[in-house]
Amino acid sequence: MRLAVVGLSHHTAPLELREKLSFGILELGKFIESQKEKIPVKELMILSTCNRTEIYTFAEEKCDSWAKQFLIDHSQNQQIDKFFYLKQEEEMVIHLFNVASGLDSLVLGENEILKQVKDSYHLFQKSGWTGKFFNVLFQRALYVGKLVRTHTGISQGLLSSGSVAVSLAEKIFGDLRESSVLILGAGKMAGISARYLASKKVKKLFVANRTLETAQTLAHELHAQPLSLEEGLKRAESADILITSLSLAEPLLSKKEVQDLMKKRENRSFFIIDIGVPRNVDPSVHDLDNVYLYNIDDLKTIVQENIEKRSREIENASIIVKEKAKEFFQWHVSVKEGAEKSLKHNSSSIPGCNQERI
Amino acid sequence: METIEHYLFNLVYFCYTISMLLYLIYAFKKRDFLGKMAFSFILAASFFHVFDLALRAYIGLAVHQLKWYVPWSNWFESFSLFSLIIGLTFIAVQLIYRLHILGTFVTTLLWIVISFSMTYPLFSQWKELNGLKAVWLSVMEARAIPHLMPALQSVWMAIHVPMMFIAYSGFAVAFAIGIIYLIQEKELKLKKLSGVAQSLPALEPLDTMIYRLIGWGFPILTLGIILGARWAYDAWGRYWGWDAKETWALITWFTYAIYLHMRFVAHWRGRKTVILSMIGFVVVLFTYIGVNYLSELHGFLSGRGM
Repeated sequence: MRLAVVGLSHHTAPLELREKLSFGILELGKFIESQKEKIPVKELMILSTCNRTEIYTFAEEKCDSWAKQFLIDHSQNQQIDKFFYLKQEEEMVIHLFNVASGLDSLVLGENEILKQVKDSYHLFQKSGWTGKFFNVLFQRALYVGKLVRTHTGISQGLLSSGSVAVSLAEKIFGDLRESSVLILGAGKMAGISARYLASKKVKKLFVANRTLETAQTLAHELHAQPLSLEEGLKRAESADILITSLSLAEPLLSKKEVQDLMKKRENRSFFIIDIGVPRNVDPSVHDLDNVYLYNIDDLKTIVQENIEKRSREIENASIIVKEKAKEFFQWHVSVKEGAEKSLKHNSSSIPGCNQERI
Repeated sequence: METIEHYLFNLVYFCYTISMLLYLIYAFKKRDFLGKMAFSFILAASFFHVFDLALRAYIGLAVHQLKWYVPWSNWFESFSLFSLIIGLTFIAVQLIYRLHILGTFVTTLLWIVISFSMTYPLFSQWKELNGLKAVWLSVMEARAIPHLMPALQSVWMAIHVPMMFIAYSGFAVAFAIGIIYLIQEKELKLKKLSGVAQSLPALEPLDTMIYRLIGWGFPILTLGIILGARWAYDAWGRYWGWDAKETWALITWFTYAIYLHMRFVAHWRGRKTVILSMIGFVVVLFTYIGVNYLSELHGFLSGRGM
């Protein structure tokens, strides 16, 4: 009797193939139900997301050829065989725990995968495909996924410029519900940052653009007030957060102009995000007291640092995963041999875990 | 009775120490429960501390028959009261703003003050002390209930001193918030967001907190100085004599007056005003401690005024 997983993921297969093999969760349920008689396994779980499709099995006999055939049939493509990976016994457990922890994800440490594992597991549990081993295994995987995220920095640090901009704004103003935001230039990049800010329910949101129609389109989507560029510039002093993304030959705001703005603002903090190329705001503005100027490169640098910080946590996370996988596998063997060991959700002895949160 | 008081004070000191340690661990681990535990320890410490002062007052008044004795009559007691009021001010601020990270800075400051209260004689006697036992005896001597000189036996003692400490403790907490502000501001200016800054509160609310604390502390300081002048009239027959303590109290007053003026009238905000408020607290410390070595009249704490 053995544990095995057969599948493909973003590590092994291109997007077109993964798309073909991606099951909708309801479709999957029905399909499995219809195939019930033909499936030669004791316990089964299929995980299918846009980045991976994996068949987890526990069976009397070796059944990876069935799983492979199942995937080939589904994709109607004989050539996909070479994209598959097969992991068995303890390797399979480690793989599953890695997946649940976000260690195998495209975006390291992302949280969505944990929910996907949970949903798929519940589907298979309800239709009776999981038994003693898989119930323990998948509940354990969900637990390890959480454990790794709370005990390492693997899912900490924001990974998009927009969310970094919002967190910076929150570091300056605290609760953004009291802050006004002015967006100069209704381009695509400005829209992305603005959407993050709009989701925080800021006090006022203005979108100003040279062509008023473009401003209106974005303003409508964000429930903001559209303005012409002139009107927008007039309101600059009342904005706490300014996003500029105009394409201008000359900077829009010089140091002197921002200094005057700050006088009118009675020196309340001013956060400027300059997405414009070339820059809309003189970089020396950042030297003024209570003015914080970040351009798109600054935001990207922070994102890059966060990515690097996450990857530095891989090692710590892997130690936890391996230890927990070993624990499960020992329990699994002991049950098969008839002398059941106890297996507890015990986080007091997490090996080599770096508790420092970043 | 005195033995009970000693044990009680030891308990108070123990609770403050644990609270500080928990807050320090909190600063690194960022677990909410650590902050909550630390807060309950400082609550307990303050609670026992109030009892400790009450017990001292009882011993002084009833057992030693000291007239007008209040338990803030020598340097130890004065530091002890100061740390209690810092603790109470912090508790009040914490109940409003719920900022565990503030505790890390305030309890450290508080711990330094209360540790200094017992150990200050050691600094001048260090060479003469042999062995731990002598150190301990010196500490216990500092903690003994004092004999009062005539100038201190006054009802004004009971009013002037706590009033000054209430103002000072507001400035102390403002100082701690100032440290947090400067760290956060520096990180935002350098565009380097290290692990420390991730958990620090936002700049604008911190600035407002400092402003409010000083806004409360300043009128109390003003009143405290006026009452001090009234006491000086009773004790020495004049309201104001440009004694070093009096002069420095005025310098403290002016520093915070300038802060409030800059903030309110000149609309200074942020780093500059925060630094000004922190300079204010350095002046406070000098007025409170340093001046005792300069002043002839206010030197009671260092023994010079005797």
